[in-house]
Amino acid sequence: MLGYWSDIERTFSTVDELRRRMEHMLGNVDAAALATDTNWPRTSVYDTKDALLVVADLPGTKDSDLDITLKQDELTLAGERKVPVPQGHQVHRQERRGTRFSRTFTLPTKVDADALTAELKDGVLTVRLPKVPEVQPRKISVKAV
Amino acid sequence: MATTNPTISNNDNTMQTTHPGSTTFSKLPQGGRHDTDEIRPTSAPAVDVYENDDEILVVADMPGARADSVAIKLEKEELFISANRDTDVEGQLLFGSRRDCEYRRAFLVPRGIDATQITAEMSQGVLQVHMPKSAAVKPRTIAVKSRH
Repeated sequence: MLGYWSDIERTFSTVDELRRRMEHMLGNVDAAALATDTNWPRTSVYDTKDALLVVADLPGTKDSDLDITLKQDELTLAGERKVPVPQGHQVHRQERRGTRFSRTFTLPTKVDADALTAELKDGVLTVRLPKVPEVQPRKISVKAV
Repeated sequence: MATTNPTISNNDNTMQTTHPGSTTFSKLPQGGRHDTDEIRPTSAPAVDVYENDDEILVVADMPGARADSVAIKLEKEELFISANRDTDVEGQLLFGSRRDCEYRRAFLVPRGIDATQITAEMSQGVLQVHMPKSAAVKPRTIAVKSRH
């Protein structure tokens, strides 16, 4: 049975090492995908003219484990990521780690706190923060005289 | 929570990945620059491996990947898992580095796995691959008869 398990370990190490080298060589490694405790969850912020979008990777996280707060121009994503060992299973490898997290983002524009929406889909959290009307882009029509 | 089953193919063909936006000349934008979608950066998802008496369970984090983009291939003794993530967000990126990527990971399947019985499910960006052990390697208790 010992040989049986070293099979899996050996596989991971060779294939992963090859992958690392290939990606290094090709220069397209998605380094930011390697989330550490300090940058969990991996988050991006977008500006869509009329709203700000805060998008965070939270695979396997339930909405009940999430706590989103907006305090003036600071948005905080906090929560807990649980990685329970399935009942009756023994662990051979555990790269997915449970963690408690809290990340705060200072928003670049004023947003309408009442219109905030949050959606969790395919393990990705999207918080939509509509901008207040004053900061939304306006088109000024020019009249030819 | 919706759970869908990605398709599993079991063949000996060379593994082929299909990109939804793979290179065709018609898709190249005018003006000479290549579409950035053309080459997807790969990303190795974090993987857990568990075992009980009946199965080996592989769990992989693939946030943003839809179940229908997951491909699981068993080629000889190697299991390949891959999925595409499409960041279909309009707007200007202010912070962070989210982008389209292809999740990919491969590993050897130990002896004693019933290849035809492998199942997988995707839920909230987490892929679970169940690899049932064949009867031959499952632990058995042997009854001892006492004789007088």
